[in-house]
Amino acid sequence: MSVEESAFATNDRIAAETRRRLAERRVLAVNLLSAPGSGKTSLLEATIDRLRNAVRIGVIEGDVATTRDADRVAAHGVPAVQVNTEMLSATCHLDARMVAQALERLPSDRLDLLLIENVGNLVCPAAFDLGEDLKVAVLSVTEGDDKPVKYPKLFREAAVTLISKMDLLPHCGGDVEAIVANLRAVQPAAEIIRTSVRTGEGLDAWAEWLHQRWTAKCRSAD
Amino acid sequence: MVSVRVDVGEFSGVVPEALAFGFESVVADSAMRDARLEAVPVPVALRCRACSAGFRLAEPPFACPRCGASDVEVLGGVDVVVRSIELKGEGP
Repeated sequence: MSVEESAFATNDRIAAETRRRLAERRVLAVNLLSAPGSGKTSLLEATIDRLRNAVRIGVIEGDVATTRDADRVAAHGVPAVQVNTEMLSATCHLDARMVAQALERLPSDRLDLLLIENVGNLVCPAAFDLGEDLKVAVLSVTEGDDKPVKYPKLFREAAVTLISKMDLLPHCGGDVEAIVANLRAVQPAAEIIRTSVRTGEGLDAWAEWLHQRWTAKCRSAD
Repeated sequence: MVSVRVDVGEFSGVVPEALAFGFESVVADSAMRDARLEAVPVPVALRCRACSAGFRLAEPPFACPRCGASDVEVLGGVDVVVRSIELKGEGP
């Protein structure tokens, strides 16, 4: 018998429902993707500190184990939910169902910005639509300049890539121009912001970029 | 005897061999133990928005091999699609 159905069909249905609900409530949802240790959580903390007074933020944290990231984020005064209950342990990515369930535990009718920190992994997270408005990739300068061409799917689909840990550049021998060239090879239209949570480089620009995206979503809903 | 045909896009993030390995593990020791999975790789198909040339891509950069433009559209090879399930012989 003919089937002709995507293996992602169930995930995509749930993601579409999440997207519809978030649009109704004018919540901008951002899916943050990167390798482990690229500095996603530190960037989240810095983002929250810059935008907390402008927008109401909620966070969904994905990790294989512990509630460390949710605890770190919650310490900045925003509601945070960790996705790694025993039932979901050892997951290497978030899927639409996990996010829909986590969203139930957040006050989504009183949020403007939903930040979803995916599990640190450059492969599987790129394959699952979570119902987000945009994907944001984080790539630290210490990871190797050629990561974008080695993991093209993730970097091609990112609306913006944050090149993080810029303060470490002189110490690790990374070549930021090579990183940019490799990002352009997979996504010529890629927006790129260079950041460092140590020096503060790029953080205001990034927060401003994100805030503008939220404003644009609200405006298009009017 | 059950056989399942799945098209696996090369830009889907799914590896056909790994999918087949997982399938074998799932059906083993079950009523479906004779089931076979045929995972067919589907190349990444692209089209150039500048000159409309169609082409395939094995690795980056995402650029048109004819005119060199980088504004290209990914048309196929992204999804994993269950095409058909074939059932033969007597049921359980």
